[in-house]
Amino acid sequence: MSRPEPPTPETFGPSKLRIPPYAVTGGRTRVDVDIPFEALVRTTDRGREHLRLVGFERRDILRLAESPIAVAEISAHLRLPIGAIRVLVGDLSVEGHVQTKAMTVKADTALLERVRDGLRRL
Amino acid sequence: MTSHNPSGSESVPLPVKIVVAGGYAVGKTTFVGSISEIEPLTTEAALTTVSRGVDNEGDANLKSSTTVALDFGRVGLGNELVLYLFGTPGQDRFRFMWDELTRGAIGAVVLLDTRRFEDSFGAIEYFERARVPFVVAVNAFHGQLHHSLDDVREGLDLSPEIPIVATDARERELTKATLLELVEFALVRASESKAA
Repeated sequence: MSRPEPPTPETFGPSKLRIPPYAVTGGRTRVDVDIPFEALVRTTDRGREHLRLVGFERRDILRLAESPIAVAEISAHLRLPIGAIRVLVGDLSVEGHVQTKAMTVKADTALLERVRDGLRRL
Repeated sequence: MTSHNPSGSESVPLPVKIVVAGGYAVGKTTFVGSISEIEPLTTEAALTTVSRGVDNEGDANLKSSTTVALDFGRVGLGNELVLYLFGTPGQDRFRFMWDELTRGAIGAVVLLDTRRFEDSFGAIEYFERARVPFVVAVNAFHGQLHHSLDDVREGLDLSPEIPIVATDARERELTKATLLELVEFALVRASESKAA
């Protein structure tokens, strides 16, 4: 392990978290945002067209999501808490700037078999 | 599964998830890293008890929050599926993460260091109660198991149907075998609930 755990908030350097974690979302931390950490995000044509019209963090997300990328990955790359990314992605999704894809139900046997076969082929 | 915006969704793979739980320094990130196609990344999640209203600017009522760093990795499974592995601390005080992480998850791997059995009790208890399919993977550092798997099972008071395997978090093939064990077990569970 390269990093001591359990981590404390102090683990995160000044470059990352001197601003309140939720400032970039305009002070909203919606409880109805239900996007899983692993949800894949991809920028839509509309998102590409509106790239210059959206705020910095949203633009960063739209650029990262040119190819499908998980919410958690966006959080790691932008060094912003995953809760904040979730809210931003939720907004972008509502606006039609990104599409998101995730499991919302329990995996059924057909899907589990595909996962198993995929793992075996690794 | 859903696409929130179906247009063009055919080229976006479906993400699936496995949770890797276990105590402090048991080797979760090593386990994830041994099979991940990217260097494990870290994301920061917080349980923030926010009492801030919509557009209530500047009036920060952010209460103290518990922050946890989650290490994760990614494994592409062909063009249509991508598997994410999330490592999560086993301590009780991080339990708030587990509801979130197990939602939609295929299941969990509980990594165990036999010198610190008790570190895994919380995770095992949680997954049993939540009916999340899980396997116990004994991390045999340097190939040495300090106890037989039967002894471990007994020590953990593990239900007989829960698989228990020996692994080495540094070895890709053993990580893969451990994940396969979990998926097979999840398959058994899924076909049972189908039959019921």
